[in-house]
Amino acid sequence: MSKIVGIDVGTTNSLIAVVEAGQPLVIPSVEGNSMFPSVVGFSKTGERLVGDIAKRQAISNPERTITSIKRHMGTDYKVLIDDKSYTPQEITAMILQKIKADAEAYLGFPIENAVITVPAYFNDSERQATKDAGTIAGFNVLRIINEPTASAMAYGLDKLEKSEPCNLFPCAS
Amino acid sequence: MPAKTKSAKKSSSKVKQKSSAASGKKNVIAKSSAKQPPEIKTKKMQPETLPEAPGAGEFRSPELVAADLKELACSIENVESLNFLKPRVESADPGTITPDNLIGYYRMACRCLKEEIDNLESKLNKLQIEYKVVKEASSFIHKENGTQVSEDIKEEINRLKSKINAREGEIDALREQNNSLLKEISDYQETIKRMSADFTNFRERQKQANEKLVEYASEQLISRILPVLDNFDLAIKSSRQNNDFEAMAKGVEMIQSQLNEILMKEGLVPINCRGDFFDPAYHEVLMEEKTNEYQEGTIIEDIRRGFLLKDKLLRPSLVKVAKSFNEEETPLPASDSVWAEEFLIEEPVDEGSNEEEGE
Repeated sequence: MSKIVGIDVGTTNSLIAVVEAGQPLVIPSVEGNSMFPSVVGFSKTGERLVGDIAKRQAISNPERTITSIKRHMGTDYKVLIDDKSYTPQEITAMILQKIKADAEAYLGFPIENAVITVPAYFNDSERQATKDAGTIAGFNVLRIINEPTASAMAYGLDKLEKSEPCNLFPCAS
Repeated sequence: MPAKTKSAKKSSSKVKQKSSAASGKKNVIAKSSAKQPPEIKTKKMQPETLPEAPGAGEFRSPELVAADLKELACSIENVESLNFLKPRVESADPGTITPDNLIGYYRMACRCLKEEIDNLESKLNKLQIEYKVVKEASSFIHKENGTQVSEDIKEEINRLKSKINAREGEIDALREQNNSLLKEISDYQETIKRMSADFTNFRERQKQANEKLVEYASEQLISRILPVLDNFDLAIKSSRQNNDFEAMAKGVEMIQSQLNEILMKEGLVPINCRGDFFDPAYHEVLMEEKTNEYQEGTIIEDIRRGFLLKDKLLRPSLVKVAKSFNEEETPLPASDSVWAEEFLIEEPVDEGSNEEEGE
């Protein structure tokens, strides 16, 4: 059975983690950062740029750089670049593909199964769109988890024998 | 059945004869006796067990009657179903008893016996049927057992026995295999337990080693930089004494070149990008300038130097990039603000652009 990865697709940054020997491990990008900027850009030569590289050229190439696509998930919003329109799912899938490729390079084996987190306020179509993005990127999306739920799980991962209340403050941008 | 009814008829006819003879002898009792006899049906044996009814018409002395009674008592003594008659016969007074009474007793005895005989007959009938069935079954079994069939059965039994034996052997083999597999499993479980414990220890140790490594990773580098520190001390000290600015600047330059040399040895490579084309792999755009002096995408200014550590990008260069000047567009007065405004118009919600604006 292949490993299951957990992916947080954020508005500004995304990250991927895997449980290794009972401990969660955040997988760094090939650039060496633990976070992948959720930015997709198309260079003037038509090259697709994702992550740090896309973020660096965002200022010189704003009309062909897409940021904060998460805000449009589950809507009919379309991104038009070079007479080609992309759905938010497709753009998110590009980010997920980059994450997948980097994670596979780091881990040294292919990954397929993933759990993706979404904000607790996401409605069904937004969740479905997120799931579709994962499928387009080549993931087998096992589950969509609420972000606060994921945080609580991560917090309580090594405290399973104890039962205590905990307050959760979502501070993400 | 027909044989039985025949015999019953026979016996009944005999009784008739007897009773008719009695009625002939004694007229007083003829009426009642004539009524009863046809109903009485007995077997042949009955006359033997019962004494002859006293002849009618004859005057019977009490002695004779007593003898009759005695005979009757004798004959019913061993018959269980006639027990009820015994006390009456025994307590009867030979002086007062009439022949009618005596006949009544006989009749009662006859009826009871007849009933018993009927019962016995039906029982016999049943037994005969059962016997027939049993006989048929036994003959059938006999036939079956007779010859070939039994051989077949024997063969079948032998075959099954050998099969069972083979199966038992198989079961034994499987049991053995199962035991060995169980042992293997427990061995593996033991190994896994030991390995996971080993791994946890290893991870802990690795973590500590890593922390230590990170803590002292700069040790080598710092020890190489220490001469630079010394030189700074010297430079400051001498410049305080001399107040010679030119000498100090020269000294600082020397120290800088020394530091540069050390860092180059460590693998630090500064990115010289001025005049190159913008490459997001190494450069980060901080601003754009609308100009026709340079080709679009050319880096016109290196605002903050970028560095590579060996082949890894340590820090991208922050650069200003040329943007082709379009005649139709009205050029914005402050070229520095172009990037920010455009970006803000395109992505009004992006916090990143605001942060960068601050820089």
